[in-house]
Amino acid sequence: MSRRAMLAMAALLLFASAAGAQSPGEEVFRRGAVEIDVGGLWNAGLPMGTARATLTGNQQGTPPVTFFETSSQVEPAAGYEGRVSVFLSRAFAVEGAFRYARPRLETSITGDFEDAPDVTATRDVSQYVFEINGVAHLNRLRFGGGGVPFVFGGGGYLRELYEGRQIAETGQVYQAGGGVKILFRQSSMTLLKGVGVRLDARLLMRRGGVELDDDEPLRTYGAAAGSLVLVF
Amino acid sequence: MSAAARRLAVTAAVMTAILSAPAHAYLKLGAVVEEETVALKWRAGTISYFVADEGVPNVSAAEFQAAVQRAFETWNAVETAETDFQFAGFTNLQPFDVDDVNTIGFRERQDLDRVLATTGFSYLVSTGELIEADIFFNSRFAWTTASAGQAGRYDVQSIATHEAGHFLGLGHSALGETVREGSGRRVIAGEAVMFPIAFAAGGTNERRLRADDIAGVSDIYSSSGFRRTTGSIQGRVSRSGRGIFGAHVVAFNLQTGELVGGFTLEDDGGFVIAGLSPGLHVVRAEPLDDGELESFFDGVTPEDLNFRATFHDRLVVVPAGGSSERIEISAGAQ
Repeated sequence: MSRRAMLAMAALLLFASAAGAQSPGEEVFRRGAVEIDVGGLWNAGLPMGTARATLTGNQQGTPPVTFFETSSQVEPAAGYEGRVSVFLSRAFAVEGAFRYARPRLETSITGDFEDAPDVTATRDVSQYVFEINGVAHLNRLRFGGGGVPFVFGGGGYLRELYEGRQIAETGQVYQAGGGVKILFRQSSMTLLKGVGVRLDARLLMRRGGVELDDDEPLRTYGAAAGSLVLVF
Repeated sequence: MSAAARRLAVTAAVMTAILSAPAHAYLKLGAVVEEETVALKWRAGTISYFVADEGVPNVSAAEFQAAVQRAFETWNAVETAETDFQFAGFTNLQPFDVDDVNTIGFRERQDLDRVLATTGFSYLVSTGELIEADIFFNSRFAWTTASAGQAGRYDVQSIATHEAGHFLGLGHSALGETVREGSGRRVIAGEAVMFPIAFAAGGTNERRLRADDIAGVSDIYSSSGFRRTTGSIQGRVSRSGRGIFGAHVVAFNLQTGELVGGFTLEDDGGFVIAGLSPGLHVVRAEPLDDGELESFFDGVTPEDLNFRATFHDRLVVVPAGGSSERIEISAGAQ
Protein backbone atom coordinates (compact mmCIF):
# COMPACT_ATOMS: atom_id res chain seq x y z
CA MET A 1 0.00 0.00 0.00
CA SER A 2 1.38 3.34 -0.92
CA ARG A 3 2.12 5.82 1.80
CA ARG A 4 -0.49 8.17 0.39
CA ALA A 5 -3.09 5.43 0.52
CA MET A 6 -2.21 4.64 4.12
CA LEU A 7 -2.61 8.28 5.06
CA ALA A 8 -5.94 8.43 3.31
CA MET A 9 -7.16 5.39 5.23
CA ALA A 10 -5.99 6.87 8.48
CA ALA A 11 -7.86 10.02 7.69
CA LEU A 12 -10.97 8.02 7.01
CA LEU A 13 -10.65 6.25 10.31
CA LEU A 14 -10.08 9.40 12.27
CA PHE A 15 -12.50 11.73 10.60
CA ALA A 16 -15.22 9.46 9.56
CA SER A 17 -18.25 11.17 8.21
CA ALA A 18 -20.92 12.10 10.66
CA ALA A 19 -23.40 10.64 8.25
CA GLY A 20 -23.40 7.40 10.15
CA ALA A 21 -23.57 8.99 13.57
CA GLN A 22 -26.37 8.42 15.99
CA SER A 23 -28.04 11.29 17.78
CA PRO A 24 -25.43 14.01 18.01
CA GLY A 25 -23.14 13.86 20.97
CA GLU A 26 -24.78 11.09 22.83
CA GLU A 27 -22.37 8.40 21.75
CA VAL A 28 -19.36 10.61 22.12
CA PHE A 29 -19.66 11.78 25.70
CA ARG A 30 -20.08 8.48 27.41
CA ARG A 31 -18.75 6.70 30.46
CA GLY A 32 -15.10 5.86 29.84
CA ALA A 33 -14.62 8.38 27.04
CA VAL A 34 -11.39 10.35 27.03
CA GLU A 35 -11.30 13.91 25.81
CA ILE A 36 -8.15 15.77 24.86
CA ASP A 37 -8.29 19.52 24.38
CA VAL A 38 -5.62 21.86 23.10
CA GLY A 39 -6.18 25.55 22.69
CA GLY A 40 -5.62 29.10 23.69
CA LEU A 41 -6.91 31.37 26.43
CA TRP A 42 -7.05 34.98 27.33
CA ASN A 43 -6.54 36.08 30.93
CA ALA A 44 -7.99 39.35 32.08
CA GLY A 45 -5.79 41.79 33.99
CA LEU A 46 -5.27 41.46 37.70
CA PRO A 47 -4.79 44.41 40.04
CA MET A 48 -1.88 43.82 42.42
CA GLY A 49 -2.39 46.73 44.73
CA THR A 50 -0.49 49.83 45.66
CA ALA A 51 2.64 50.42 47.69
CA ARG A 52 4.08 53.61 49.05
CA ALA A 53 7.75 54.21 49.65
CA THR A 54 7.94 56.38 52.76
CA LEU A 55 10.53 58.19 54.78
CA THR A 56 10.22 58.81 58.49
CA GLY A 57 9.41 62.43 59.22
CA ASN A 58 12.20 64.23 60.99
CA GLN A 59 9.99 65.82 63.59
CA GLN A 60 8.68 63.46 66.23
CA GLY A 61 5.06 62.59 65.63
CA THR A 62 4.86 63.85 62.07
CA PRO A 63 3.40 61.47 59.48
CA PRO A 64 5.66 59.56 57.10
CA VAL A 65 6.75 61.47 54.04
CA THR A 66 5.88 59.90 50.70
CA PHE A 67 9.02 59.25 48.69
CA PHE A 68 7.03 57.87 45.76
CA GLU A 69 4.00 55.69 45.13
CA THR A 70 3.46 52.58 43.09
CA SER A 71 0.43 50.86 41.63
CA SER A 72 0.87 47.40 40.12
CA GLN A 73 -1.15 45.09 37.96
CA VAL A 74 -0.72 41.98 35.91
CA GLU A 75 -1.64 42.90 32.37
CA PRO A 76 -4.12 40.86 30.29
CA ALA A 77 -2.33 38.15 28.37
CA ALA A 78 -2.96 35.30 25.98
CA GLY A 79 -1.73 31.81 26.71
CA TYR A 80 -2.07 28.16 25.91
CA GLU A 81 -3.78 25.31 27.63
CA GLY A 82 -4.25 21.61 27.28
CA ARG A 83 -6.38 19.15 29.18
CA VAL A 84 -7.28 15.52 29.42
CA SER A 85 -10.75 14.56 30.62
CA VAL A 86 -12.08 11.19 31.65
CA PHE A 87 -15.84 10.73 31.59
CA LEU A 88 -17.19 9.01 34.67
CA SER A 89 -20.68 9.08 33.19
CA ARG A 90 -22.45 10.68 30.27
CA ALA A 91 -22.71 13.89 32.18
CA PHE A 92 -19.75 14.03 34.50
CA ALA A 93 -16.06 14.13 33.75
CA VAL A 94 -12.87 14.82 35.64
CA GLU A 95 -10.21 16.77 33.82
CA GLY A 96 -6.57 17.52 34.45
CA ALA A 97 -5.33 20.66 32.77
CA PHE A 98 -2.18 22.62 32.18
CA ARG A 99 -2.08 26.30 31.35
CA TYR A 100 0.75 28.56 30.34
CA ALA A 101 0.71 32.31 29.87
CA ARG A 102 3.30 35.04 29.94
CA PRO A 103 1.66 38.15 31.32
CA ARG A 104 3.48 41.36 32.04
CA LEU A 105 3.64 42.80 35.52
CA GLU A 106 3.44 46.57 35.31
CA THR A 107 4.14 49.00 38.12
CA SER A 108 3.24 52.64 37.67
CA ILE A 109 5.53 54.87 39.72
CA THR A 110 4.19 58.32 40.48
CA GLY A 111 4.34 61.16 42.95
CA ASP A 112 8.10 61.29 43.39
CA PHE A 113 9.23 63.65 46.12
CA GLU A 114 11.81 65.20 43.80
CA ASP A 115 9.55 65.17 40.75
CA ALA A 116 11.24 62.32 38.95
CA PRO A 117 9.24 61.65 35.80
CA ASP A 118 6.48 59.08 36.23
CA VAL A 119 7.50 55.70 34.89
CA THR A 120 5.83 52.37 34.25
CA ALA A 121 8.33 49.67 35.15
CA THR A 122 7.66 46.21 33.80
CA ARG A 123 8.65 42.59 34.17
CA ASP A 124 7.37 39.60 32.25
CA VAL A 125 6.18 36.61 34.22
CA SER A 126 5.96 33.00 33.04
CA GLN A 127 2.82 31.51 34.55
CA TYR A 128 2.18 27.78 34.82
CA VAL A 129 -0.99 26.28 36.24
CA PHE A 130 -1.70 22.61 36.86
CA GLU A 131 -5.32 22.07 37.79
CA ILE A 132 -8.03 19.47 38.29
CA ASN A 133 -11.65 20.22 37.52
CA GLY A 134 -14.96 18.50 37.74
CA VAL A 135 -17.10 19.02 34.61
CA ALA A 136 -20.86 18.57 34.44
CA HIS A 137 -22.32 18.33 30.95
CA LEU A 138 -25.85 19.68 30.75
CA ASN A 139 -27.18 17.13 28.32
CA ARG A 140 -30.76 18.32 28.68
CA LEU A 141 -29.72 21.64 27.25
CA ARG A 142 -28.12 20.26 24.11
CA PHE A 143 -28.66 22.35 21.06
CA GLY A 144 -28.10 22.12 17.34
CA GLY A 145 -26.30 19.14 15.99
CA GLY A 146 -23.71 18.75 18.71
CA GLY A 147 -23.73 21.59 21.15
CA VAL A 148 -23.37 20.57 24.78
CA PRO A 149 -23.34 23.21 27.50
CA PHE A 150 -21.27 22.46 30.55
CA VAL A 151 -20.16 23.93 33.83
CA PHE A 152 -16.98 23.19 35.65
CA GLY A 153 -15.08 24.01 38.79
CA GLY A 154 -11.87 23.05 40.49
CA GLY A 155 -8.51 24.17 41.68
CA GLY A 156 -4.84 23.82 41.05
CA TYR A 157 -1.25 24.71 41.63
CA LEU A 158 0.19 27.98 40.39
CA ARG A 159 3.85 28.48 39.65
CA GLU A 160 5.19 31.76 38.33
CA LEU A 161 8.69 32.64 37.28
CA TYR A 162 9.93 36.14 36.79
CA GLU A 163 11.62 36.84 33.50
CA GLY A 164 15.19 35.67 33.98
CA ARG A 165 13.87 32.69 35.96
CA GLN A 166 15.67 33.80 39.10
CA ILE A 167 12.72 33.54 41.45
CA ALA A 168 9.79 31.13 41.40
CA GLU A 169 6.60 32.02 43.25
CA THR A 170 3.96 29.42 43.95
CA GLY A 171 0.32 29.57 44.92
CA GLN A 172 -3.12 28.17 44.37
CA VAL A 173 -5.77 28.83 41.76
CA TYR A 174 -9.48 28.07 42.05
CA GLN A 175 -11.83 28.43 39.14
CA ALA A 176 -15.45 28.01 38.12
CA GLY A 177 -17.03 28.60 34.77
CA GLY A 178 -19.18 27.38 32.00
CA GLY A 179 -19.21 27.02 28.27
CA VAL A 180 -20.19 24.88 25.41
CA LYS A 181 -18.64 22.03 23.50
CA ILE A 182 -19.66 21.86 19.86
CA LEU A 183 -18.88 18.65 18.06
CA PHE A 184 -18.73 18.97 14.32
CA ARG A 185 -17.48 15.47 13.61
CA GLN A 186 -18.85 12.42 15.38
CA SER A 187 -18.46 8.73 14.76
CA SER A 188 -19.08 5.55 16.65
CA MET A 189 -16.99 3.60 14.17
CA THR A 190 -13.54 4.96 14.75
CA LEU A 191 -11.12 5.40 17.59
CA LEU A 192 -11.70 9.12 17.44
CA LYS A 193 -15.32 9.48 18.37
CA GLY A 194 -15.65 13.15 18.04
CA VAL A 195 -13.96 16.35 16.96
CA GLY A 196 -15.13 19.77 17.96
CA VAL A 197 -14.41 22.92 19.84
CA ARG A 198 -14.80 23.99 23.41
CA LEU A 199 -15.50 27.58 24.35
CA ASP A 200 -15.69 28.68 27.95
CA ALA A 201 -15.55 31.62 30.27
CA ARG A 202 -14.32 31.30 33.81
CA LEU A 203 -13.87 33.19 37.01
CA LEU A 204 -10.56 32.51 38.73
CA MET A 205 -9.37 33.19 42.21
CA ARG A 206 -5.70 32.99 43.03
CA ARG A 207 -3.69 33.17 46.19
CA GLY A 208 0.08 33.50 46.09
CA GLY A 209 2.20 33.41 42.99
CA VAL A 210 3.62 36.77 42.03
CA GLU A 211 2.31 38.72 44.98
CA LEU A 212 3.13 42.15 46.29
CA ASP A 213 1.21 41.85 49.56
CA ASP A 214 2.53 39.92 52.52
CA ASP A 215 -0.92 38.65 53.46
CA GLU A 216 -1.47 37.16 49.99
CA PRO A 217 -5.13 38.06 49.52
CA LEU A 218 -7.43 36.03 47.30
CA ARG A 219 -7.48 37.86 43.96
CA THR A 220 -10.25 37.39 41.42
CA TYR A 221 -10.03 37.73 37.66
CA GLY A 222 -11.63 36.36 34.52
CA ALA A 223 -10.51 34.34 31.55
CA ALA A 224 -11.92 33.01 28.31
CA ALA A 225 -10.64 30.03 26.38
CA GLY A 226 -11.17 28.14 23.17
CA SER A 227 -9.89 24.65 22.42
CA LEU A 228 -9.91 21.99 19.80
CA VAL A 229 -11.67 18.95 21.27
CA LEU A 230 -10.77 15.38 20.44
CA VAL A 231 -12.90 12.67 22.07
CA PHE A 232 -11.79 9.04 22.08
CA MET B 1 56.90 49.62 63.10
CA SER B 2 56.34 52.46 65.52
CA ALA B 3 53.03 53.10 67.08
CA ALA B 4 52.80 56.34 65.18
CA ALA B 5 53.43 54.59 61.92
CA ARG B 6 51.03 51.75 62.55
CA ARG B 7 47.99 53.86 63.10
CA LEU B 8 46.32 57.03 62.17
CA ALA B 9 45.67 59.39 65.02
CA VAL B 10 42.12 59.69 66.21
CA THR B 11 41.36 62.90 64.47
CA ALA B 12 39.15 61.91 61.61
CA ALA B 13 35.69 63.09 62.50
CA VAL B 14 33.24 60.73 60.86
CA MET B 15 30.64 63.41 60.42
CA THR B 16 32.90 65.02 57.89
CA ALA B 17 35.43 62.43 56.76
CA ILE B 18 34.14 59.47 54.85
CA LEU B 19 35.97 57.37 52.38
CA SER B 20 34.27 54.74 50.35
CA ALA B 21 34.83 51.12 49.60
CA PRO B 22 33.93 50.44 46.00
CA ALA B 23 32.95 46.81 46.36
CA HIS B 24 29.49 47.49 47.68
CA ALA B 25 27.12 50.31 47.64
CA TYR B 26 26.18 52.01 50.90
CA LEU B 27 29.12 53.93 52.19
CA LYS B 28 31.47 52.11 54.43
CA LEU B 29 34.40 53.71 56.07
CA GLY B 30 37.42 52.83 54.05
CA ALA B 31 41.15 53.17 53.84
CA VAL B 32 43.55 52.78 50.98
CA VAL B 33 45.80 49.80 51.57
CA GLU B 34 48.38 49.13 48.90
CA GLU B 35 46.43 51.17 46.37
CA GLU B 36 43.20 49.36 47.11
CA THR B 37 40.35 50.69 49.20
CA VAL B 38 39.40 48.33 51.97
CA ALA B 39 36.53 48.64 54.42
CA LEU B 40 37.49 49.56 57.97
CA LYS B 41 36.21 46.89 60.32
CA TRP B 42 36.84 45.19 63.59
CA ARG B 43 38.34 41.74 63.43
CA ALA B 44 37.76 40.79 67.04
CA GLY B 45 34.47 39.09 67.82
CA THR B 46 33.67 41.12 70.92
CA ILE B 47 34.24 44.87 70.97
CA SER B 48 34.57 46.25 74.47
CA TYR B 49 33.99 49.90 75.21
CA PHE B 50 34.31 52.11 78.28
CA VAL B 51 32.13 55.03 79.22
CA ALA B 52 33.63 58.20 80.66
CA ASP B 53 32.50 58.61 84.24
CA GLU B 54 31.20 62.11 83.78
CA GLY B 55 27.69 63.32 83.15
CA VAL B 56 26.18 66.58 81.99
CA PRO B 57 23.21 68.56 83.26
CA ASN B 58 20.09 66.39 83.04
CA VAL B 59 22.09 63.25 82.20
CA SER B 60 24.16 61.40 84.79
CA ALA B 61 27.05 59.15 83.80
CA ALA B 62 24.95 56.10 84.67
CA GLU B 63 22.01 57.32 82.58
CA PHE B 64 24.36 58.09 79.74
CA GLN B 65 25.93 54.63 79.95
CA ALA B 66 22.54 52.93 79.97
CA ALA B 67 21.40 54.86 76.89
CA VAL B 68 24.65 54.08 75.06
CA GLN B 69 24.32 50.42 75.96
CA ARG B 70 20.78 50.31 74.55
CA ALA B 71 22.09 51.84 71.36
CA PHE B 72 24.84 49.25 70.98
CA GLU B 73 22.42 46.45 71.79
CA THR B 74 20.26 47.65 68.92
CA TRP B 75 23.13 46.84 66.56
CA ASN B 76 23.92 43.60 68.41
CA ALA B 77 20.35 42.48 67.73
CA VAL B 78 20.70 42.55 63.93
CA GLU B 79 20.26 38.90 63.04
CA THR B 80 22.13 39.03 59.76
CA ALA B 81 25.23 40.63 61.28
CA GLU B 82 27.68 39.29 63.79
CA THR B 83 28.52 42.14 66.09
CA ASP B 84 29.04 42.03 69.81
CA PHE B 85 29.52 45.23 71.75
CA GLN B 86 30.19 44.85 75.46
CA PHE B 87 30.24 47.57 78.10
CA ALA B 88 33.53 47.10 79.96
CA GLY B 89 33.10 49.70 82.72
CA PHE B 90 33.42 53.36 83.56
CA THR B 91 36.70 55.17 83.01
CA ASN B 92 38.25 58.51 83.73
CA LEU B 93 39.84 58.48 80.29
CA GLN B 94 38.65 61.00 77.75
CA PRO B 95 37.30 60.13 74.31
CA PHE B 96 39.62 61.00 71.43
CA ASP B 97 42.77 60.27 73.38
CA VAL B 98 44.87 57.64 71.61
CA ASP B 99 45.13 55.10 74.40
CA ASP B 100 43.99 51.77 72.96
CA VAL B 101 40.77 52.09 74.94
CA ASN B 102 37.43 52.51 73.20
CA THR B 103 35.98 55.42 75.13
CA ILE B 104 32.60 57.06 74.87
CA GLY B 105 31.76 60.21 76.75
CA PHE B 106 30.96 63.88 76.79
CA ARG B 107 33.37 66.60 75.79
CA GLU B 108 32.64 70.26 75.52
CA ARG B 109 33.46 71.60 72.09
CA GLN B 110 32.03 75.09 71.85
CA ASP B 111 33.75 75.52 68.52
CA LEU B 112 31.72 72.73 66.94
CA ASP B 113 28.39 74.48 66.97
CA ARG B 114 26.72 72.06 64.53
CA VAL B 115 28.27 68.80 65.65
CA LEU B 116 26.28 66.76 68.14
CA ALA B 117 28.74 63.89 68.31
CA THR B 118 31.69 62.49 66.47
CA THR B 119 33.33 59.11 66.13
CA GLY B 120 37.05 58.75 65.52
CA PHE B 121 39.22 55.77 64.82
CA SER B 122 42.63 54.25 64.98
CA TYR B 123 43.26 51.50 62.49
CA LEU B 124 46.11 49.51 61.11
CA VAL B 125 47.15 51.17 57.92
CA SER B 126 48.41 47.84 56.62
CA THR B 127 45.05 46.08 56.78
CA GLY B 128 42.30 48.55 57.63
CA GLU B 129 41.59 46.73 60.89
CA LEU B 130 40.02 48.97 63.50
CA ILE B 131 41.93 48.92 66.75
CA GLU B 132 40.39 51.80 68.63
CA ALA B 133 37.29 53.92 68.27
CA ASP B 134 36.06 56.74 70.48
CA ILE B 135 32.84 58.72 70.47
CA PHE B 136 32.36 62.10 72.02
CA PHE B 137 29.04 63.76 72.61
CA ASN B 138 29.25 67.52 72.48
CA SER B 139 28.17 68.82 75.88
CA ARG B 140 27.46 72.29 74.50
CA PHE B 141 24.06 70.87 73.52
CA ALA B 142 21.21 69.91 75.83
CA TRP B 143 20.84 66.14 76.20
CA THR B 144 18.26 63.74 77.53
CA THR B 145 17.85 60.04 78.20
CA ALA B 146 14.11 60.24 78.90
CA SER B 147 12.34 57.21 77.46
CA ALA B 148 10.01 59.30 75.33
CA GLY B 149 12.51 62.02 74.57
CA GLN B 150 12.28 65.55 75.84
CA ALA B 151 11.39 68.71 73.97
CA GLY B 152 14.39 70.87 73.18
CA ARG B 153 16.91 68.19 74.12
CA TYR B 154 18.77 65.70 71.98
CA ASP B 155 18.22 62.04 72.67
CA VAL B 156 21.43 60.29 73.73
CA GLN B 157 20.23 56.89 72.58
CA SER B 158 19.33 58.10 69.09
CA ILE B 159 22.64 59.83 68.55
CA ALA B 160 24.51 56.91 70.10
CA THR B 161 22.80 54.55 67.68
CA HIS B 162 24.04 56.65 64.78
CA GLU B 163 27.56 56.91 66.17
CA ALA B 164 27.65 53.20 66.95
CA GLY B 165 27.06 52.66 63.25
CA HIS B 166 30.21 54.65 62.54
CA PHE B 167 31.95 52.76 65.35
CA LEU B 168 31.25 49.62 63.34
CA GLY B 169 32.61 51.12 60.15
CA LEU B 170 29.50 52.42 58.45
CA GLY B 171 29.56 55.73 56.64
CA HIS B 172 26.60 57.95 56.00
CA SER B 173 23.46 56.98 54.18
CA ALA B 174 21.85 59.46 51.79
CA LEU B 175 18.39 58.02 52.30
CA GLY B 176 16.57 61.17 53.26
CA GLU B 177 15.23 64.44 51.98
CA THR B 178 16.27 67.96 52.87
CA VAL B 179 15.55 71.41 51.59
CA ARG B 180 18.01 74.27 51.53
CA GLU B 181 17.23 77.16 53.82
CA GLY B 182 19.72 79.97 53.72
CA SER B 183 23.17 78.58 54.33
CA GLY B 184 21.88 75.42 55.92
CA ARG B 185 19.47 72.61 55.31
CA ARG B 186 16.18 71.67 56.84
CA VAL B 187 15.65 67.96 57.13
CA ILE B 188 12.27 66.77 55.93
CA ALA B 189 12.63 63.05 56.48
CA GLY B 190 15.06 60.17 56.55
CA GLU B 191 14.87 56.41 56.36
CA ALA B 192 18.19 55.42 57.87
CA VAL B 193 19.74 55.99 61.25
CA MET B 194 22.93 56.65 59.30
CA PHE B 195 21.39 59.59 57.40
CA PRO B 196 23.76 62.25 58.64
CA ILE B 197 21.65 65.17 59.59
CA ALA B 198 18.23 63.86 60.45
CA PHE B 199 18.35 64.62 64.12
CA ALA B 200 15.80 66.88 65.65
CA ALA B 201 15.75 67.93 69.30
CA GLY B 202 13.03 66.05 71.12
CA GLY B 203 12.97 63.19 68.65
CA THR B 204 13.61 59.51 69.29
CA ASN B 205 13.03 58.17 65.78
CA GLU B 206 16.64 57.23 65.29
CA ARG B 207 16.70 54.63 68.04
CA ARG B 208 15.31 52.15 65.52
CA LEU B 209 17.44 50.72 62.72
CA ARG B 210 15.96 50.74 59.21
CA ALA B 211 16.48 48.33 56.35
CA ASP B 212 19.28 50.49 54.98
CA ASP B 213 21.23 50.36 58.26
CA ILE B 214 20.71 46.62 58.61
CA ALA B 215 21.87 45.96 55.06
CA GLY B 216 24.97 48.05 55.65
CA VAL B 217 26.11 46.47 58.89
CA SER B 218 25.27 43.01 57.60
CA ASP B 219 27.42 43.62 54.55
CA ILE B 220 30.42 44.33 56.77
CA TYR B 221 29.83 41.74 59.51
CA SER B 222 27.89 39.11 57.63
CA SER B 223 26.34 36.26 59.56
CA SER B 224 26.51 32.83 57.99
CA GLY B 225 23.05 33.17 56.50
CA PHE B 226 23.28 36.72 55.25
CA ARG B 227 24.69 36.04 51.78
CA ARG B 228 22.40 33.08 51.34
CA THR B 229 19.20 34.83 52.30
CA THR B 230 19.72 38.21 50.69
CA GLY B 231 20.64 39.37 47.23
CA SER B 232 22.02 42.35 45.42
CA ILE B 233 21.36 44.71 42.54
CA GLN B 234 24.19 45.68 40.26
CA GLY B 235 24.15 48.26 37.56
CA ARG B 236 25.30 51.55 36.22
CA VAL B 237 24.00 55.11 36.20
CA SER B 238 24.84 57.26 33.21
CA ARG B 239 23.90 60.44 31.46
CA SER B 240 24.30 60.67 27.71
CA GLY B 241 26.25 57.45 27.90
CA ARG B 242 28.77 58.73 30.41
CA GLY B 243 28.94 57.06 33.81
CA ILE B 244 28.04 59.18 36.83
CA PHE B 245 30.22 58.78 39.91
CA GLY B 246 28.57 59.49 43.26
CA ALA B 247 24.94 59.14 42.22
CA HIS B 248 22.61 57.99 44.97
CA VAL B 249 20.73 54.82 44.04
CA VAL B 250 17.77 53.54 46.02
CA ALA B 251 16.14 50.12 45.81
CA PHE B 252 12.52 49.78 46.99
CA ASN B 253 11.23 46.28 47.64
CA LEU B 254 7.64 46.22 46.41
CA GLN B 255 6.81 43.30 48.67
CA THR B 256 8.39 44.39 51.95
CA GLY B 257 8.41 48.17 51.53
CA GLU B 258 12.09 48.27 52.48
CA LEU B 259 14.27 51.07 51.15
CA VAL B 260 17.99 50.51 50.83
CA GLY B 261 20.29 53.08 49.31
CA GLY B 262 23.73 53.04 47.81
CA PHE B 263 26.07 55.01 45.62
CA THR B 264 27.77 54.68 42.29
CA LEU B 265 31.31 54.25 43.50
CA GLU B 266 33.00 53.30 40.27
CA ASP B 267 34.25 55.76 37.71
CA ASP B 268 31.99 54.30 35.05
CA GLY B 269 28.92 54.86 37.22
CA GLY B 270 28.79 51.27 38.42
CA PHE B 271 27.13 50.32 41.68
CA VAL B 272 26.20 47.30 43.76
CA ILE B 273 23.59 47.35 46.51
CA ALA B 274 23.92 44.23 48.67
CA GLY B 275 21.85 42.94 51.55
CA LEU B 276 18.48 43.25 49.83
CA SER B 277 15.49 41.11 50.68
CA PRO B 278 14.70 38.88 47.71
CA GLY B 279 11.87 40.03 45.48
CA LEU B 280 10.80 42.71 43.07
CA HIS B 281 12.41 46.11 43.36
CA VAL B 282 11.86 49.57 41.95
CA VAL B 283 15.21 51.30 41.45
CA ARG B 284 15.70 55.06 41.49
CA ALA B 285 18.80 57.20 40.94
CA GLU B 286 19.25 60.80 42.02
CA PRO B 287 22.05 63.31 42.44
CA LEU B 288 23.62 63.45 45.87
CA ASP B 289 21.90 66.67 46.82
CA ASP B 290 20.42 66.04 50.28
CA GLY B 291 23.50 66.60 52.35
CA GLU B 292 26.88 68.22 52.20
CA LEU B 293 29.10 66.25 49.86
CA GLU B 294 31.87 66.09 52.43
CA SER B 295 29.46 64.17 54.66
CA PHE B 296 29.70 61.33 52.20
CA PHE B 297 32.95 61.56 50.30
CA ASP B 298 36.40 62.59 51.32
CA GLY B 299 38.94 63.53 48.70
CA VAL B 300 36.70 62.70 45.79
CA THR B 301 33.74 64.66 44.57
CA PRO B 302 30.86 63.58 42.39
CA GLU B 303 31.37 65.29 39.04
CA ASP B 304 27.76 65.43 37.99
CA LEU B 305 25.05 66.64 40.33
CA ASN B 306 23.01 68.17 37.59
CA PHE B 307 20.80 65.33 36.55
CA ARG B 308 17.21 64.56 37.25
CA ALA B 309 16.00 61.90 39.66
CA THR B 310 15.17 58.95 37.43
CA PHE B 311 13.45 55.60 37.86
CA HIS B 312 14.68 52.52 36.09
CA ASP B 313 12.00 51.41 33.62
CA ARG B 314 12.22 47.75 34.55
CA LEU B 315 11.23 46.00 37.74
CA VAL B 316 14.36 44.37 39.10
CA VAL B 317 14.31 40.85 40.48
CA VAL B 318 16.64 40.19 43.40
CA PRO B 319 17.21 36.48 44.01
CA ALA B 320 18.22 35.03 47.38
CA GLY B 321 21.94 34.40 47.37
CA GLY B 322 22.52 36.06 44.03
CA SER B 323 22.48 39.23 42.04
CA SER B 324 20.11 40.88 39.63
CA GLU B 325 21.05 41.26 36.02
CA ARG B 326 23.18 44.34 35.47
CA ILE B 327 20.82 47.25 34.96
CA GLU B 328 21.42 50.54 33.19
CA ILE B 329 19.78 53.72 34.41
CA SER B 330 19.93 56.58 31.95
CA ALA B 331 19.39 59.79 33.85
CA GLY B 332 18.04 62.86 32.13
CA ALA B 333 19.15 66.45 32.49
CA GLN B 334 17.43 68.56 35.12
